[in-house]
Amino acid sequence: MAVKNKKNDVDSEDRTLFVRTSDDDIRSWDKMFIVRSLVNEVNMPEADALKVATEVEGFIKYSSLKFVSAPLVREITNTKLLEHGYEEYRKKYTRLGLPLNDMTGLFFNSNKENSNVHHSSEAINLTISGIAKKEYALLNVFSDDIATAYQNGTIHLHDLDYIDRPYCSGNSIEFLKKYGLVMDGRGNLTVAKPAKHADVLILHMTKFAAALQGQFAGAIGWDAVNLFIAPYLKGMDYDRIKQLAQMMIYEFAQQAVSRGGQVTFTDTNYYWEVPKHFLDVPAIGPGGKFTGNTYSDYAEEAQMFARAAFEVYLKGDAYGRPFFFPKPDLHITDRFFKTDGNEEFLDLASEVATKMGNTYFIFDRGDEAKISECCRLQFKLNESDLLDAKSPWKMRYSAMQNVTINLPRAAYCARGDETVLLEKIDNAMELSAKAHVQKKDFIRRILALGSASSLPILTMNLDGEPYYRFDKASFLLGMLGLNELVQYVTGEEMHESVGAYKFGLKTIAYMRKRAEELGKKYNIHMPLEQTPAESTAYRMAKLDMEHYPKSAEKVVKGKLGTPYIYYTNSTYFNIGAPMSPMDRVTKEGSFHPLIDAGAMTHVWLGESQPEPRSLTNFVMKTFKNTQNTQIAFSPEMTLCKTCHNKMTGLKDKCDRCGDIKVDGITRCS
Amino acid sequence: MEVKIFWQDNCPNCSPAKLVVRDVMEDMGLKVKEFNVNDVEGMSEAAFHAVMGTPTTIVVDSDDSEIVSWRSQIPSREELIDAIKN
Repeated sequence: MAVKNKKNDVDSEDRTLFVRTSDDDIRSWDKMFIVRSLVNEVNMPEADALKVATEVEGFIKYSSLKFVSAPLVREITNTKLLEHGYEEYRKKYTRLGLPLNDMTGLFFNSNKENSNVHHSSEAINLTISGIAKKEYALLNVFSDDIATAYQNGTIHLHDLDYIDRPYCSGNSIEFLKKYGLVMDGRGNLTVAKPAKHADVLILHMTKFAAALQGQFAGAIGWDAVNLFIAPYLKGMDYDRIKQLAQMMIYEFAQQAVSRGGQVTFTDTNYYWEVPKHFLDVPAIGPGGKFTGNTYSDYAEEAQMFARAAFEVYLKGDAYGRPFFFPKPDLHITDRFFKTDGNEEFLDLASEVATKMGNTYFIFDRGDEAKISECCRLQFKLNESDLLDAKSPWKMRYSAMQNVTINLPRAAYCARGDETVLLEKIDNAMELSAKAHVQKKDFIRRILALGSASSLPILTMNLDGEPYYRFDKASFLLGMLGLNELVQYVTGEEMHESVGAYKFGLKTIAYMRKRAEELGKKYNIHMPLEQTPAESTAYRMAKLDMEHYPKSAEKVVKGKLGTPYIYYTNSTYFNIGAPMSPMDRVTKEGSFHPLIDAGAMTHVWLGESQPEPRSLTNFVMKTFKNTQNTQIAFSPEMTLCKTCHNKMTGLKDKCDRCGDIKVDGITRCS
Repeated sequence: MEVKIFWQDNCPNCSPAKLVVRDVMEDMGLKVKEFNVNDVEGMSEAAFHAVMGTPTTIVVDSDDSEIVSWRSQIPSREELIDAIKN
């Protein structure tokens, strides 16, 4: 359409305005495009839309532009909508994306948001998509009160950049053994029958994990890896089994091809004994056929594979570096200690822990059974889950979303009043529960599209129900900065007095009780979980220093006046508190029974490298004398990029070749 | 010194345990603190003392440190008196 440009006094009949459209076309101006988009996108009455479009056209008439872009037209239209007070229409009509300057920054600066994503072109793609999806989530998935609570730091909605996926998952190799590999969930790509050989089964598992990472925001966990592989190992010698274990670990560790070019975040669960709930379960072997035996008949092969895997972890990669993934989660149970060879194996796992830091010790006391994944998430298996163990390919669990509450903020807003404090925590929890329901509804809409949805693996139905068992999903409620909440209210940190410590316990007990009540109210299973808060700890501290500086500066950790400030993670005690490791494991562990969906204690080893036997004793004491549900030992080490020398502790330069090109390795959450 | 008993509903041994503990405490002129492990106060106190089952009876000193305990069992009158006296 021709537009007269009055500003330059150019006759519009001689000068046509063109629009660079979003679908890579150049079209002549037509204000009816605006009218139609306003009517179609935001349901604006046509007469109002025409009025706004006419004003937009009028504005452009006065410009000297020869071309306008579709984004610019939309920006101008949004301004006109605001001028007329059409705020709701403006919100729905907005465009998502990022400024040009930010895009340039992505090309030339590294991503520091997630410690598992390394700077690469794929990582840039991930960041761009993440920005748009995050904006979409805050505008169109969550209600305004929740979006505001997120943006002002009252709560943290994890993984908004993956708003169209559930959070994380626990999976079973049995599904692959029984049904083969359908990589895309639709069967459009090459489909593999159930594996006949152990190495093929391992490849099915690693490939499927990478595919699943495209359908979940977080970790991909695998239960009882050594046990479920065992039927494929019958008759093999130890060298062959070790080769297979090595292959599995390298395949997981080097597969830096999933979203953003990162390595798939995987957990592999190991048992030395055959877990009670799998003892009488018919074993699936090569070709997806039942072997005629039960899993209790494969204890020896399962132990060989477990030992082999931990030997591989101990050796590390070609440069002797630890494998960051897959994480080995070793379950310590009452039956573990009654099973032959446990002492020797625990020494091996402890040696891996002290030298490499890989081993996560998961404590399943009594009849408890869990699947571990992510940083500390655990799915406790209830009675119905344990019935699923009879058909273990059905043992697929998931957390839909993780929301974390800023506990120090609640204390500041309550001005130290304990009754008001509980009200503030209540408010944040209620918002979190509502956020869960909104995410649940959004994912439900996506999954309802079936195989045509953007989550086709999750809708794949090979065993009578979709791969993603929607009704089994958990909705996690995390907490951040309990130590600072306690410090603000009582004047002492949790390690400084019994009163402060007990106040912390009471706060978490209250949250647990309320989480149960809110779960019933909103019809969701909402257990507490310690938050993996590598960036949330900084974000919330920073926001509170901006909005509540007088309160926050009394308790925030790190260097005040610098960006390096943080809150203590979840229910942890101050990382610098003068506590013995056993005291820390005991006291932090006393919170763990209150936190159903996963908690852990990091025992920082720093430069020290204790003897494996002393770690073994520590693990045994932790199991027998505390309530702690998970511990990991965190050694610090430095690797020289030039000569590949590995040193204990964090160093500025190589003590062998003197080069300053070194990488320090430590655990961050 | 203080005696704490942890209990919950649908726990067959909890009522008999409470009776024993209350009886002894009354005879000795001491108070017993009772905690339902399913309410907030009881839940947090149970976590503090690592109570894993009910009934649990714990005798603590003035620092709230455990002197003696009966976990998932009913203490006998004699054991309880002996523990408190010694």
